[in-house]
Amino acid sequence: MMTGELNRIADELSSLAELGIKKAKAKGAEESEVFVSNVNTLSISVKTGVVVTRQGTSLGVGIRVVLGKKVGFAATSGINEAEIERTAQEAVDVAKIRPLDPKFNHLADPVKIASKDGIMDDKVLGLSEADALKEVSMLSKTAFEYDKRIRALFGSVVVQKGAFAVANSRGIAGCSKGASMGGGVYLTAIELGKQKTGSESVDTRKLVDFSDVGSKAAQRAIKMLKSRPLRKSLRTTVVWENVAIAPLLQGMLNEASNARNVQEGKSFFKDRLGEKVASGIFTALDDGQLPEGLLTFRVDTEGIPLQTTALIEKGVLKGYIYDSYSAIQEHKKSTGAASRNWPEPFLSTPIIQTSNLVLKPGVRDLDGLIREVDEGILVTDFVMGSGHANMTTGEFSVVAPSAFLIEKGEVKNPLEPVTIAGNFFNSLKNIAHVGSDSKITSAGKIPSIVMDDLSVSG
Amino acid sequence: MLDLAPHAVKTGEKLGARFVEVRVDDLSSREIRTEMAEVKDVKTMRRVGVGVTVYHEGATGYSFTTHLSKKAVEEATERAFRIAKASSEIAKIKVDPGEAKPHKQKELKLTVKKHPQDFQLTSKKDLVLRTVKAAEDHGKHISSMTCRYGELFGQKYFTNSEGTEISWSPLLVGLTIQVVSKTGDLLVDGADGIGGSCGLELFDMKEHSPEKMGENAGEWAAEKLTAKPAPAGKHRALCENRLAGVLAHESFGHLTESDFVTSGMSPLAGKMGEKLGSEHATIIDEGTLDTSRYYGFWLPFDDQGTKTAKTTLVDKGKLVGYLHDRSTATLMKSSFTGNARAVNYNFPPIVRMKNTYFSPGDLSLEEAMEQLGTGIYAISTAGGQANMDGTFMFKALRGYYVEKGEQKYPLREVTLTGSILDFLKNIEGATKELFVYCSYFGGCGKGEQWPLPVGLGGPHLLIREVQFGGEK
Repeated sequence: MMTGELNRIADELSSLAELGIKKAKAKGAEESEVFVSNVNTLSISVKTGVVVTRQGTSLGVGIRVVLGKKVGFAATSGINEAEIERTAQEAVDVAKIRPLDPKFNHLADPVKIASKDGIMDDKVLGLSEADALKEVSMLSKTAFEYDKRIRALFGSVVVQKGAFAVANSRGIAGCSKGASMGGGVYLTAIELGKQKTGSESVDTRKLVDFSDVGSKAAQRAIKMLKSRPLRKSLRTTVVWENVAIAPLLQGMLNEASNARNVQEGKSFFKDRLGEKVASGIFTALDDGQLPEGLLTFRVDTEGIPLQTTALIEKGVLKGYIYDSYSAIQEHKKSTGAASRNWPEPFLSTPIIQTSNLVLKPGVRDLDGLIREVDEGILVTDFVMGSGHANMTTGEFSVVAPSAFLIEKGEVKNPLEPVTIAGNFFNSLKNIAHVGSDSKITSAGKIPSIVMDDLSVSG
Repeated sequence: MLDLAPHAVKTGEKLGARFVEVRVDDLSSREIRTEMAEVKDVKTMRRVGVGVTVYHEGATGYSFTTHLSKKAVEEATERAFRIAKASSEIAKIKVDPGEAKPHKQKELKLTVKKHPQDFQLTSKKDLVLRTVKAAEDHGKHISSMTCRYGELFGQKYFTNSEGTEISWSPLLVGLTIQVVSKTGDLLVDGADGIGGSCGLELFDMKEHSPEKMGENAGEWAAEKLTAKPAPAGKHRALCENRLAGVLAHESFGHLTESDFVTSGMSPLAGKMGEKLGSEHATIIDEGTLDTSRYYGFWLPFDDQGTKTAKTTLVDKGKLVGYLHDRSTATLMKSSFTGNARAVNYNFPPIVRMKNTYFSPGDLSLEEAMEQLGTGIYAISTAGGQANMDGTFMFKALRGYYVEKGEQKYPLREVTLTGSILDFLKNIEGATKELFVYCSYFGGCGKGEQWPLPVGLGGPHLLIREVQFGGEK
């Protein structure tokens, strides 16, 4: 597949969306929105020596209709005319039986701002199965060759490309395209009955060399074989490597900045606009136009241009992110934050979600951050439990399988798994340093950070 | 639609494939969500698609299509064959589906009194609104409330090169409510819910009625407003049924999935027959529980057309079983267990659990409390995660501090961490009752595939030296 083919798919989706609007109107819908998506996935995974490959295209249509302020939604896989017609009818049937939502006003109105899709690399679009298989072999080979104590490995290369189109009866007609690939490894090292894990991944819009992903993961696991228990509970400084903190940071800021949560009383940031909510060195943006960002699109899943929204500037809460429903409640414009779940976005109604969460980087790399810390813990690789933190209250308790002791600015021995607990929103004020080592992941572009005064036990 | 599956098998065999498996899924789901007392979302979704697995020279390729035409199915089969062939060149461990007798089973389904398909969405909306009303009546300082209803039903067809032909109808209903209470800066939550392969009569039972679940969620959130954070450190714990289920599934069950075993990833690799836990630790994975007594997810066949088995994983502390798909069973010379499952037609079946639970013991709940003495009573789950080295962290939804066998005060932020292998050794007893459920919201995630309906449960488990997290 090349850019030309993706453009052709996008054009086809756009005309199907327009067709859907006509069908919905004919079925009696006062307003309607038709979302059509086509996402092709090539996924190759290797489990030690076993190879499993998957390729195919997920496509379908999701239709929202409005009848007397009652909103109905229906979705079906497949995108032929008959399916669109049946889905429109089903959405109308759903709308008829649902109670009135007094807060619903109307579907999104068009917003005219210039916006672009992210970087599109013909080398990613044109990557063949054979090329991807070579990359997977390389991931696996470099990991096993790194050290003979590497015993088991799960590796994968996933290439995803696709487009979606959305149109509504209020004049919205938008379309976004994208292509990206990712390579990742999760492995275990074993020595004297002790088993340790390590992981590494690269997600990118441009074709890159994945050859060191395997060896980096191996290096992480090998380092942990010398781990010792902490054997105490203390309050201390935690240096979070970018990949360790990214999921928690994105999860928390996403929930707290979500305008629907603010309106429904579920956000910690409710009634705090203009207040200091974080350390003065902390600046966070929702950047839907970052060219290299994985979640950069021309329009969101309601057809609103993606843009850059300041969330926190030098510690002060600046704004929330909106979809059209929440924006209309406050007579504001949507910030283009309406998102639907991949790889079958047609199946769901929009939810509010950050695009690329970007932190303004500092000047020191991870080693530089560590040198600033007299006594503390370094948390690397992935942590467990980020997704299960209480996003409303900010309370979290995570387990770090790959942590190290820091003494006088130096990394000392690795630790057996430690539990790190605290309140994320209080900790935002305790951010002592932000690193310069921002990494692109599905969370956004996030550097390593240093947080003072967290509970650590192990 | 049904003739598409044999057509794919023929196409694959013509290309020279060693073996072909074809699924046709036609699944519908409906969901209702309310925020406070307002209905925010009503959705109906239908997924229809064909998935084809091709085995060729020790590797597999999988492809799928949503176009229900012979041509589209042919193309998907050709794609699956092509990628299987390419993969075989780099596959160091060769896989083979082995052999099984063909099996014919037509239109197998559960008999329920009130199939959700036969009821209008309005009646389900009423269930949700009744739950919300009860929560409102029993909660305090409620700042937000989310209630969800979900249902899944449809048809699954399967055929393969051996001539097996199966069709059956999955079913799942679920209702959950979460209440958030707030005083000052303190936000706390309470939640209740139930789900399983049942008809809507599930919600006619007193303990699972919308009124009872709403009352529970409201009261449990209110109670937490004055709760203390769980004390960090090691405590003796009593884990309630649902929490025991999460431990059985999330922290232990995954380690018995044989793709993790054959790859050497699981710490249980090579440990068959070893004593891992105390005599009170027995863990089972089963496809079809007695639906008149337990909830769970009814799974008569897996996605490779294998009849699901009742597999004992741990018998009185001893590791006695792994979970298999056809390839891993063949590789390890084991019998088929029927654990090959795919979350939908976008994905190939991989080794997954069915209904995983700790077997009950002989204690009454009173006796268990008495044996607990001083410690933490940890109830239900608000999620968690486990790592391949056996370490885990789980959040209990509720907890109580217990002194001398008596519940003293409620706790919040009850987080259990540790290694499952230590945990199994430290089980001191189990209660008599067994409770199994399956959540419509949530489900199991593995690799890219989420959320797969699974059942989990157990009795109450008494465990010494459980590490509780939380702030010091």
